[in-house]
Amino acid sequence: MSNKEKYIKVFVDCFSVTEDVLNENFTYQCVAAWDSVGHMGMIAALEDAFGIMMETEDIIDFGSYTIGIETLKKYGVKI
Amino acid sequence: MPSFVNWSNPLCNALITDAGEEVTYGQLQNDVFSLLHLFKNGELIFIVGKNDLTTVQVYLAAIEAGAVPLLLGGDISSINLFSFIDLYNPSKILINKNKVNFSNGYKSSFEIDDYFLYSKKDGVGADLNSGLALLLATSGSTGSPKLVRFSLNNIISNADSIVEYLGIDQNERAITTLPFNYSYGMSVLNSHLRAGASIVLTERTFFDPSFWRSVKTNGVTSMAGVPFNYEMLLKLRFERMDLPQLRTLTQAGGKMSVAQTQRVVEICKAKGMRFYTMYGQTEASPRMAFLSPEFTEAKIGSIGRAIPGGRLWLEDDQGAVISSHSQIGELVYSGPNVALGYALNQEDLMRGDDWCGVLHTGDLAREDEEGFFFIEGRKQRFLKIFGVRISLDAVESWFAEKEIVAAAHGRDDHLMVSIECLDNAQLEVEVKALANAMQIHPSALTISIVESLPRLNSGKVDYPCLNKTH
Repeated sequence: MSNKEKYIKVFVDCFSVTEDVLNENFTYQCVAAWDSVGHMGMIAALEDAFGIMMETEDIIDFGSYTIGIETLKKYGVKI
Repeated sequence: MPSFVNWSNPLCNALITDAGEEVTYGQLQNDVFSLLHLFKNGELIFIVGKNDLTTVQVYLAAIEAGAVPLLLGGDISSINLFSFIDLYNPSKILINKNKVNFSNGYKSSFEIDDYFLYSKKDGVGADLNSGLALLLATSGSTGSPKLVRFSLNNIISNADSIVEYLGIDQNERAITTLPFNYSYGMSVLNSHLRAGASIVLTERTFFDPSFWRSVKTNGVTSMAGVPFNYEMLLKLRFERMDLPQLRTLTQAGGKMSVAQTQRVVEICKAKGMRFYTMYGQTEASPRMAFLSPEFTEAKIGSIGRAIPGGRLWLEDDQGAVISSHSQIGELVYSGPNVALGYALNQEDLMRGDDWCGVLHTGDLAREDEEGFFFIEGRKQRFLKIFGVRISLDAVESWFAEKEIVAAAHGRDDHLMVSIECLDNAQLEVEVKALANAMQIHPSALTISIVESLPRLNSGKVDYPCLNKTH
């Protein structure tokens, strides 16, 4: 699976959404499932999927699908 | 009638809004008094709000006027809201303008910022007992119609106890980390207003950068959290955060694991912060016990001792008081903060004091030689999912209505349901529907299909066995 596929899969699994909604408008709290509980689950799933451990600021600033792609670059993960 | 807000320092800040507006006690008092004419003594008001200025103003004005608010979260579904309205017959409803349109029976009579105050067209709402001051739902916004009835003395005495044991003074500043309609969130608000301290009103979560900016720039000195809030803090590596003004953390709303408590205690120690483990239930307005920071290490896992003005003891199955240490029994509390009782319908709002100051908590506990209490389990079948009580029997009846045989079990923060005969395609639909009905996050829920549920000889479901296999 490519990084992009893994990244998308985390969103689809964590928030029960379809791939086509995943863009810059897919932001924190835009769907009921992406609340604090969902955010915790997503961060944990991304850390597992890419074998990384994210910094506080990056977890807090991870406000959208698109921002996340930039964030992961810092950890050497190219989506 | 005594006002429960301490108005003695009009120049001190009472509230700081999310937009950064500072509201002094003097200003808040003016605002509240200007709303008093909207409410009548002894009428039922639904406040469907959130942690914002209007909600707090209306809450205080309603209580000052002798009206009785039922606090409901702004995220309540229309279906649940309408069933509350049908059941309890409020004469007024405060609700966000965008939320819902009442075409039947109610008309919009007043506008306050983003809210409308609706009044019943015929003006006739439920009759209330004169001792009633406030109502809360027992399980957040899950739609369970059961309410807890409070007197003003319940609320005031509990807020005063909290002020005393946490040492809240004018210099303290809290931030809303919990819904205002959740008893723990309400008690943070009440105790700070009682002490002349201040509160930052926000709906933001720990995962919003603005939340932490607010904590820093507003000089927040204390935060309250249920175990899940602490899970988030640990995930965010709270130990690395630089928040010099933050001095106190409190935890209630369910038992936190000893390992997690230990980590939080260590971090607080390193930062010179106070950490309080506390214990309560909505039925006790809500606080009953707390563990002082000086005992957190020696008595880790304990809920501490009764709050000032209250008393805790244990009873066995026959209701006899347990005096020996190490014997487990039901935790019983008595104090002026024990609510008046429950309400299941409009008629119950006429009831007086059913509990007479004594609450059987349904929690099983033991007491050590030094009088510290430890929660060991529960008599009743419910879980706390992120601080909100979910009845396992209610989950099973929800399935029974669909003619599905289900057994609900699990642990706090994770509800499991084992179901007989259901195909995989239907499974996903049911997970969503149940999560929706109980208003819990789908990730806190697992439904699994079993060929047949394990049963005891009596025919009852063998829950210990279910919990072992899943």
